[in-house]
Amino acid sequence: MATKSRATPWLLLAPALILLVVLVLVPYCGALFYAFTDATLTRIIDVNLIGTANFEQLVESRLPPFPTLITTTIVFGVGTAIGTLFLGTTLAMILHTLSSNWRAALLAVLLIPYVMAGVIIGYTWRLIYDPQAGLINTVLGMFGVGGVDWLTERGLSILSLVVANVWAGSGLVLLVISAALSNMPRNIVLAAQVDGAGLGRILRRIVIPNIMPAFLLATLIALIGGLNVFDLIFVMTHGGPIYQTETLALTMYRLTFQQGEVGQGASLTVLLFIFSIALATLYVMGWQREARRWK
Amino acid sequence: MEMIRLGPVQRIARLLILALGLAYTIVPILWIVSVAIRPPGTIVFPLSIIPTSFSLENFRDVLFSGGTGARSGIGVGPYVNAAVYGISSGILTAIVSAMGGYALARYDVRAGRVLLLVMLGLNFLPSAARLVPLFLLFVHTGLFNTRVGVILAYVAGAVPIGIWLMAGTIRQIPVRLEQAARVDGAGPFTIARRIILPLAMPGVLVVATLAFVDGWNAFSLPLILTQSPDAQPYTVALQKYATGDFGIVWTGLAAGSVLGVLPVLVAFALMHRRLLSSGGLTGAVQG
Repeated sequence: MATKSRATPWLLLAPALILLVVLVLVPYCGALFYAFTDATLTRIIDVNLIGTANFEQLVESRLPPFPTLITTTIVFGVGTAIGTLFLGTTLAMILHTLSSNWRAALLAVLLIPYVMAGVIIGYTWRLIYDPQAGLINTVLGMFGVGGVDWLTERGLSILSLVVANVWAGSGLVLLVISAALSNMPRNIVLAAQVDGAGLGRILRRIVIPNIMPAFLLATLIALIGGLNVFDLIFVMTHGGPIYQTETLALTMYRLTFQQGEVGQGASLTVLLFIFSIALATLYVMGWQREARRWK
Repeated sequence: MEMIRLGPVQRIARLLILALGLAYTIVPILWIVSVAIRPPGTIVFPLSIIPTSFSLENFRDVLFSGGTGARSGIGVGPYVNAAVYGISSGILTAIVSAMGGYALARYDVRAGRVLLLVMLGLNFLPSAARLVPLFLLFVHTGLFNTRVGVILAYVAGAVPIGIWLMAGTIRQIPVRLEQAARVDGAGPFTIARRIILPLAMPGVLVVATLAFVDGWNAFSLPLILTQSPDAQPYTVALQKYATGDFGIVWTGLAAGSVLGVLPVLVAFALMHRRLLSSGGLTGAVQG
């Protein structure tokens, strides 16, 4: 369309761009700066540059050891990704074998957790796991089985959180895969059936290749999501007991707002940022390879 | 895919998996609702699976009960705050996104394609990584612990997806309609009000709903950006029942949580067809 004034589109874009520059770009740059300073909560103006000391302190920290934090974060993120991808994809495929009325009704129910607040999901699942009021232990008690400390038992607590977070995140995968299935050409499936292909072969040769790009995208979203989950863990375990369920996002909060080490919190922000970008890059590379393969 | 013929075993497997998936989804919600509607006196462990009596007392306590006891409420204020934040964010996000989306859809902005990709990329930025930087900025600028600050933070978070969706919506409106109106002598504001806005309304509503739900649900941002109880939304205020002097007060926590979910469910019920067909729920991910 011919434009009369070159300034008009920029005027229209101005509010959005100003907001994004001031409230997204500037803060991120600020965090990058603070990551190399000795800032604390009580002293964020008059700060000294201290090089990479914050990062070194992070990596060398003993309580909890940095590798433990990384392991917990990976277990939580990858566990969530595997769970949501498996459940979301399976349910999406099943919904697509149903009539559209059933599909719409079931989809609406299955998406309820997806629109709920992370905090509320956290409290909901805390009420499932609670040793006294929890549904699981109440049912176990009816069969004479002793209670399990789902959120405090070492090794078990992080898995309990994964189950809760899979509940929270499966809806998004379900949506993404459903959309991909709806866009799949129907004629190919029909033709394959006429040619006598069974369910397994149709899935392997037609359905899976068709939803592969969406599946990769869902994987990325699930991983970045897992890396950044804060609300749910915060209200369910607060990272405890004894740091057992503390992921990097929680560490960032603890360092900054509870211990007042703004510089270290900022350096962790930078790390989270780098991890997310690395994941996004991997996704773009994987997507391009897939695109070439199926072209 | 609904034309795929399934054998009897496959049909049973399908039914089983669906039943399990539905149970996993619904049971936790039923349980928290069941705790919320029990009269406070009947909370004796172990709880009965099915509540034996019903009352709305817990909801009343959460909203209206004063004092400092275990059953004292958080008041109506935190819910009003969340509503103010969510609705303001919804309206502002819709306006800002509609303007920006129109510019990117209609004008041959040289950097337009790059800008759209940046908007898409912004959705993938780690949300937790925003907390510390925003906190520092707000302390520096005096926006800390202000309502305006919270709302602006929400809007900035929701605008990238909003612009992306609005650009897509406006691109589907034929340019010829605008050109015809211009020939008939309509000015830019008449065109915006009489042609673009009515046709783009479904998209605008989707963007506004998404921003509202995000704002209503938000926890970590108001947790670090507000300090006084007057400015806190219910998500932050509910912590009183979880970490207060009385240990966990399940009746209050359950009732308060149910109150927090209801508006979102209403918004979702009203909008879910539009949200689904616009791809709004998955955001830009299908783009």
